[in-house]
Amino acid sequence: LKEPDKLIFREFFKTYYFLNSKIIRREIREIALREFAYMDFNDVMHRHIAIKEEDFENWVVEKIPRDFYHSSGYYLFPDKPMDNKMWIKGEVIFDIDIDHITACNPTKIWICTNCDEVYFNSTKECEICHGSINEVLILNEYSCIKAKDELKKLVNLLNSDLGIDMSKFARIYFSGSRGFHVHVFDPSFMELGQRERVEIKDYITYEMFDITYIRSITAKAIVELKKIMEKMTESEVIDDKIRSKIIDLINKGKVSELKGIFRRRKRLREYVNILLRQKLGVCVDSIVTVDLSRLIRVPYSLHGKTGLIKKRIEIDKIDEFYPFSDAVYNTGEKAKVFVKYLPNILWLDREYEETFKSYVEVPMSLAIYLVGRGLAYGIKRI
Amino acid sequence: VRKLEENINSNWVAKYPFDPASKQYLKTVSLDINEYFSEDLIHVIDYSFTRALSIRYGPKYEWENDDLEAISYFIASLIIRGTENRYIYYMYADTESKRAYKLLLREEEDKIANLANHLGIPLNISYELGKYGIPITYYLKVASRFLSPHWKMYYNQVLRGYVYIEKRQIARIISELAKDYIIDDIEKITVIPSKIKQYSEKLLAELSGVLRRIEKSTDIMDYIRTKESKYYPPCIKWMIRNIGSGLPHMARFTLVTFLLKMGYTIDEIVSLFSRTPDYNPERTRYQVEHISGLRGGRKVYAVPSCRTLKSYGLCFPDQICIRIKHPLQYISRIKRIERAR
Repeated sequence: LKEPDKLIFREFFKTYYFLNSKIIRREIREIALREFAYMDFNDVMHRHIAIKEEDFENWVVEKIPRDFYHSSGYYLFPDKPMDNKMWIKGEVIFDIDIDHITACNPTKIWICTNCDEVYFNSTKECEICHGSINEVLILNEYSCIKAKDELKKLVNLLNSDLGIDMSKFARIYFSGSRGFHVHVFDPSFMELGQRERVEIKDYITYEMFDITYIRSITAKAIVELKKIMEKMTESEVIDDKIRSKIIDLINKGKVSELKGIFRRRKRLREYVNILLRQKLGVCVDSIVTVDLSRLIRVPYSLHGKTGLIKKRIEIDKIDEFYPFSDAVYNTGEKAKVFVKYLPNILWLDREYEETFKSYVEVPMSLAIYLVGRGLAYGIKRI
Repeated sequence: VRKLEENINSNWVAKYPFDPASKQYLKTVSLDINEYFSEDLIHVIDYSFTRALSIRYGPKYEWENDDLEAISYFIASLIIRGTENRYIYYMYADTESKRAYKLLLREEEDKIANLANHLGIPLNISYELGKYGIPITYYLKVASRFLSPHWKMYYNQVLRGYVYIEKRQIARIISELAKDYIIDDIEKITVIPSKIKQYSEKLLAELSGVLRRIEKSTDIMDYIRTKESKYYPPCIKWMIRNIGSGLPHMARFTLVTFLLKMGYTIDEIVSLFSRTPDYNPERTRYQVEHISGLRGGRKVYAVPSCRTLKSYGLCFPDQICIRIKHPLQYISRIKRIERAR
C-alpha cells in the first residue's frame, strides 16, 4: 500500500470500527480468556494481547487493526508467552478456502508490478518491460458456489454425523476473503486435545481413508460404495462380475469378504478410495482445525486485503449469500480510482464491466477491495 | 432402549473391582486389613501377592471364590502402592486391564453398558445391529491413544454424535479406560500397613530384573532428552515421551529405525523399550536386531516417510514439518534455520 491509499484505508477501517465495535464484542465468547493479535497499518504484527470485556470497544477504536485475530483457545493467562498461557479449552474451527478446493476454479490473473500490464496466462516476467509479476486470485461466481457446496457438506457432517447442534453451538462466517469459517463451541468438543482433533479432522476430510480397513457394513462409506458400484459401467478397473459380487456382498452384509475383494485388486482399491474420499470428505485446511493455539480472524472485523466483513451467515441462508453485497461495508461514498484491471464484477447490486488501465468511478468499498487486492491504486474521494 | 439392570454382586466385583460401583459392595464384605494376617486368613494375602506378581506372568481369567478374587485386587493394590514405583503401578494397571478386556468379551450387552455407565460413558446400544453407540468425544478420548488406522471413525457408522462399534472395540475402550481407574485406585492409597510393606519389598525383589533395565533406560532417556532431542521431529519426540504408556507397532518400528540412524546401539535401544508396559526383553532384542539388519532377511529398514507416518496417525506437524517429506530431513532443516538465525 502506498501512502495516500493507506490513509484512506485507515479512515475506512476507523469509521467501520467506530460504528461496529459493539457488534464485534457481542460476537466473541469469553473475551477475557482469548489471546488477541492484530496487524497495524505499518504491517507490524502485535501478539499476546489480553483485553478486558469492558475495555474491548475502546481498544478496537483506538488501535484500528488492519487484520484482527483472536485465539481459538481459551487461556488462563492470554497475554503470557505461548508456553505459559495455560490452555483451558478451545473452539473447534474449520476453514474452507477456495485456494484449497481443487474443484474450485478461481480466476487467476498476472499483473506486472512495473507497467501494470495484465496477463491471463501464467508468466514469469513482463513481456513488455521485463518487470516482476504479481499473481492475483479473483473470487468468481463459480468458485463461490463450489465453496458453498463444501460448506454445506461440512455443516451436514457436523450436524447429522457429529451431532453438533448448529444453531446453538456453532457459527458460520464468510472469511472476508476467499472462504468460510465455522466456529464450533459445543462444550464437549471444546475440551478435545490435539490428538482427538486430528481424528475429527480426518473424519471430516476422509484423509487416508482405505476401504480395506472398513469395520462396519453400516458405515457411510459402504452406503456410498454401493451407489458408486450401481452406477459404474464396465471399464478397465472393474468387470461386471466383480461389480455385481461387490453389490451382493454389501446386501448380505459380508464385510470381510468385501475387504478381501479390494485387498486383491490394487487398482480397483485405489480408484474406489479416491472416489470415496472426494465424495464424502470436505476440503478443510487441516492445520486450522488441529492447532490448539490457532489465531483466527475476529468475526465482524474487516479483512485487511479486501475491506470485506467476516460476516455471519445463517445456516439456512448459505445459498443466497453473496460476499460482494452481503459482506460489504457500504459507506455510501463514491471514489475515483485507477484500475490496472477491473474484472467483470457484481458489487452492491451493480454490475461493473471489465476494464483495463483506466480511471473508474466506483463505491468506496469496491475501491478499497481493488486496491487491497493489488488491482488498482490512487483512490480519490468524490 | 431397554432399561439397564443394576447388578452389583460378588461375581461382578470379582470381575470388575476397579468399577466405582464395586467399592461399596466390597466395603461390606471386607475385614480390617490386619485380620487377614491371622493364620486362617493368611492365604488371602498370599493369593493377593500372586495377583500383584501377575505383572510378570500375565493375568488369570478363572477363579473359584468371587469374594477372595475381589478382595485380592485391593490387597494387591496395597502391595503395589507399597513399592512406591510408578512403573510398577503402570505395569500392574496394564495387566489388570488385559484381564478386564478378556472378561468383557464374554459379557452380555447390558452388562457392558452397565460398566461403561459406571465409568462415565453413556452408551447407546443398537440391539438389532449388535453395535455399541458411544458418544464421539468419549470415543476419541480413548481411541486416539491407540493410533492404529483401524480406529479411524470413518470405518464405523457415525450418526448424531455417536460412533457405533463392535463388542471387541468397546471392550478394548473400556479396558483402556479401566487403566486410569486402576492407577487412580493405587495412587489414592495413603497408608500402607507395615506388614503389607514386607510384601511390597518381596515384590520389588521379584521384579528387580525388570526394574534394573528400566533404570538403565532412564539414563538413556535423560541423555536423549538433554543432548539432541530438540532437533528431533515432533513425531519422534512424541514417541519418546509416550514410550512408557505403550506405543503401537508402527511407532515402535519408526522409533527404532530413527534411533539406529542417530547412532544409538542396539543395547541402548532395547533398554529404552523396557519402559513399555508389555516389555519382553528377548522379543524386543530380536526385533531391534531384525530392523537393524543383524537378523532375518538382513535388510536394514529405513525410517518411514512422513506420508506413511501420517497414514498411521503418527504425524503431529509443526511449522518446520510443512516443508519436509521425511523425518530425517527435519534435523538438517532445523539446524539450518538455527544457523541462519
